[in-house]
Amino acid sequence: MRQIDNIASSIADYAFKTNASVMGQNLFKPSYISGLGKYLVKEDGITPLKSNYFDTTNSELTSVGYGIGRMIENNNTILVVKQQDFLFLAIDQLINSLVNIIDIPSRDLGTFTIICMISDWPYEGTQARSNHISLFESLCNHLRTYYCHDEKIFEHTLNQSNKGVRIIFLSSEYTYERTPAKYKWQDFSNNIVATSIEDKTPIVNILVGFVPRRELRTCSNNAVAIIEIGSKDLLISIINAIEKYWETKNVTVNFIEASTSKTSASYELAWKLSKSISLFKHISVRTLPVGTRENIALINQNTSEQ
Amino acid sequence: MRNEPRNNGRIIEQEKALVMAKIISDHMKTLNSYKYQVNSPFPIHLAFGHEKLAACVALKRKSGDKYILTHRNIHFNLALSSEEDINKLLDESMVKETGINNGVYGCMTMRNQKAGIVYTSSILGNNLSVGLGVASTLDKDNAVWIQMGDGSIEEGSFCEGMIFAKARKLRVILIIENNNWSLGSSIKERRNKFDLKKFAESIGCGYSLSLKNSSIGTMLEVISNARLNSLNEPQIVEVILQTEGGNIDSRRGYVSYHHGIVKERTE
Repeated sequence: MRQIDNIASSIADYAFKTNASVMGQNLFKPSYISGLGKYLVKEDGITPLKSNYFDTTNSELTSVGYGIGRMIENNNTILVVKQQDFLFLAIDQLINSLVNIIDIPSRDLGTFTIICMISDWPYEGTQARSNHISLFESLCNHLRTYYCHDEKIFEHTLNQSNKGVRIIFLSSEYTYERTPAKYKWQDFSNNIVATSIEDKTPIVNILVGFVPRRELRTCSNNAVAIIEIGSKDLLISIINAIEKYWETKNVTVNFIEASTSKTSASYELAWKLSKSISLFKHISVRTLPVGTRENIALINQNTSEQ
Repeated sequence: MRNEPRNNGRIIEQEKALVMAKIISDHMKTLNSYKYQVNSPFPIHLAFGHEKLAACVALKRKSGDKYILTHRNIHFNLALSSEEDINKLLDESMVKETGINNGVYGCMTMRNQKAGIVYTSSILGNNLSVGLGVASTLDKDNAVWIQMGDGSIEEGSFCEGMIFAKARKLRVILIIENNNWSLGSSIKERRNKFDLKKFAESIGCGYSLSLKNSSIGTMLEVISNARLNSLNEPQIVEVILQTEGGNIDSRRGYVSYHHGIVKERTE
């Protein structure tokens, strides 16, 4: 079985076990949202197995609000979404509604799981560049989000007994099983701060990536792994990492991230860093995009669990 | 003569509704009088002019129904709650820890869960889709009452939500309180007319109208029919009313004051 088939199977098993309602736009036809819904139908390939598995209207906002309403009444729901940027249409529900019920004890809630197929693959043109988890997380950092690049991690994540809302982003690179083209190194420091990089300038490499939440990691070799993009302490962590070089007054900060998007975490962090640091005479910032596999490998190589 | 018991029943119900509306009004007057207190959390969204509607909904509800409200929720909270919870509702409006929600929600998102009010939102149009989700969890004899206003139907979520509601055959009654105002702008000032009846018909939902100054008997009948019909298809009930507490602007004439606070109660 392909990776996507195993993920689809996990969804069907979980839905059955938890009596969850499952919905999505074109969940059953023509391609089951990249295959994620393929085990939710009868043998004819079209008829949903249960009446609470259904194709929704084009209504991201309402679909998310619907899931939240069911969650309030201790019912379980899965919403399958093709692209992460579609979820921006539901920001009112994801932020305002969830903040509005934040004091309800989780034990009184059902589970509302949003599974997003494409979250790190900027295909389909310029608009799809906002398919980047960090942009989403910067808006919705109160949400429990996961990034799964492996079928076993997905199954484990899905079957955790969380109450409330959670969003599981799938890595397109893994689920589509394709290898991205190698990207050239980009240097956008011209747009930010001073451009000169002296030969002896200390370099701090910051790996921007995603691992399961609440997993703390420490780094060596001047590298810092960012694990929670939405964390308000993130910038402080970065500043702490480079502060030891303040005597030299110069430092180069490389953000290494699996993205080419101008809405990526690196761009946002770099901009914030340049505006907030005052210890350095010159600070040069670059983003060095790599593929997801490479990014994860770098994080694993250079970090260890606390 | 044969109709006497039924007529008596109707008259008794109408009297009940009027008495309930008066009680709601009196409680709001109490809140209204607090506005000059030190550290008063005003503005509080009062609902003078909406009392009869709330009373009718309370009288026509069924056990197990749920309610989804907006920022102007005080009248529904008062109408649907038991006597023992009234002081807690007033306290919540004043953001006190003794409030029904421990002072956490205040007046704008206050909700008495015991009365079936499961969600209240101050974001226009935000509450509709949440109400649809709640509706999907109810027994087949129950429905969700969703409060909205003439301002919130301008939000994209309204059209989207109603189409979804019809597609999923959800048992919902939308109470559209049309007071002609959104904050300080009237319908005429901010947009063209929106024919809710035609909209409802176009997507296969039921529609009924309660005009301004309708008799209590008429309003009860409209609400009752909507509740009954909601078991078959989503219902929109447009209620034309005036939120009292406005003032006179020399350039524009009467302007509804958004918070519904009155200086003097107009009868």
